[in-house]
Amino acid sequence: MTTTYEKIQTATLGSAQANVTFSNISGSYTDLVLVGSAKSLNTGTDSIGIAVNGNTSSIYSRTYLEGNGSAVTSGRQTAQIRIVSDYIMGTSGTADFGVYTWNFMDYSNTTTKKTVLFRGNNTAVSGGWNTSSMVYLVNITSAITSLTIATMNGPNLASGSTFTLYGIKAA
Amino acid sequence: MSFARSIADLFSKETSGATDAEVTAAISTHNTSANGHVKRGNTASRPGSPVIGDLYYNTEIKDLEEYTEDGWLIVAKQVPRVPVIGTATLGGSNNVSVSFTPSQYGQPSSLYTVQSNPGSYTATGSSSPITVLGTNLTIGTSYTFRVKSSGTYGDSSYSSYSSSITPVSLSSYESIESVTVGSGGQAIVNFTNIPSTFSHLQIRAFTIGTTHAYFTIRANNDSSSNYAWQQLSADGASVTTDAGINSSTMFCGQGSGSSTAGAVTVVDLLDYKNVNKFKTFRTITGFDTNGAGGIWYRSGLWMNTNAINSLSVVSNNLFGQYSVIALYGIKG
Repeated sequence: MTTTYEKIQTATLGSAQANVTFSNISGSYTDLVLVGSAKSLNTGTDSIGIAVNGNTSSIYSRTYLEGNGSAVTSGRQTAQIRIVSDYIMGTSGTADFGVYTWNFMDYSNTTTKKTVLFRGNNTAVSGGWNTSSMVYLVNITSAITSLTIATMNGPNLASGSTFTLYGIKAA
Repeated sequence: MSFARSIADLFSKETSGATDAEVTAAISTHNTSANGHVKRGNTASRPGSPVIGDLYYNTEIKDLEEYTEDGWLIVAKQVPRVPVIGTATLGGSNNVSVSFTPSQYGQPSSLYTVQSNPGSYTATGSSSPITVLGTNLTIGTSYTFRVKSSGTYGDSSYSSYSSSITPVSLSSYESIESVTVGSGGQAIVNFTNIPSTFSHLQIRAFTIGTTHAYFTIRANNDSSSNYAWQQLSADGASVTTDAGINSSTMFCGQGSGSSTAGAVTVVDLLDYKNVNKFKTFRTITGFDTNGAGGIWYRSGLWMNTNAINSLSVVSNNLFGQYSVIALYGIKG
């Protein structure tokens, strides 16, 4: 057996900042798993957005399943500009942080498009969803080599936000 | 000033309290012959009991040698002195940081090389410490490390070895087996002889193919009606739930029906070797093809208390080329 699930990079914000970028991601793994606990400084609703390889053009599409304690919904959108957490973002001014997991499967192959499985949760958000599961298609066949994480509405990710990127290598 | 004292001055010897005879005798013991010339001869004839700083003209290599802490070295073209090995410490990724102290004597060194034993894995750097990547080392194996320096005229000898250090397993998550589907596709992926050394299993799959719509899982090759499943699903417009009981199949992963945009699936199988419980599978799966898509949460039950030692991942038709299905074990 081969021990795997290795931490590749991690970032813990000691002060608010606009984005976190994990770059020069090795292609030596099979899957990537990105986990985060984050909050926006925006006092309104906000989301986390991830740009793959720095690309913010309309290459992202998604299908989602979401609930907020009183309603459940499913939808699909195309021509998106990032992988978005859909209002799961913690609550500014409180200790409420959203928690997230993104699975980037077979991220380094150069033959197929990239599919990402997302799960996000928080409980005190106002005006958004509390539980979200999404499948994103990133319409590129190139390997994923960088992930840039930022808020969608700004201005900054709050201090205390953390992100860790892991690599899983199949035998 | 006597000839002997002038020779002594040449080598910076303190001679104020000695007679000329004593000075001559002392110098000739090490550096010079009685006539004041530096001792000479072949390698085999070097002085038998040299002290640090003694000079010797080696007629074999036709060059002046000095006796140093590292032995006889050519004065004008010395390699750097041997560094002093320090400690080897483990980093967070089983990288080993090897410290050392460069010699403060002799020729300067611009490069240091650390070497492991066993394995002879090397890493280089311009200063201490130098890191040997954990990817080169085997978990559970004891390693020692030594270091050498490199300069304009070559390499020093290696130092003595450090104390030993043993990389440890940093993760309880291990890869057991994986299959990447080749051209022509594949209907079933079998994981057999699953070890019982883990607490839980996880299947991670990226599946693709124009005829692949979903996959089921069979445990221990049981194809009788011993399975049940439930699901919560969303197709981009509505949310539904469904179930099946006493089924011969247990729906798990979804397919995309596409040759370019695949479906992804993560299946958790907890306590798989317990012989007192039915086995429950937890699955999240889905796809998006920029126009179609869905996401499914599934619970599956194999109504059998046997420990699971094999899993069959079965496509409704064919897993397409480039599909990747991998089995992992998680220790608890």
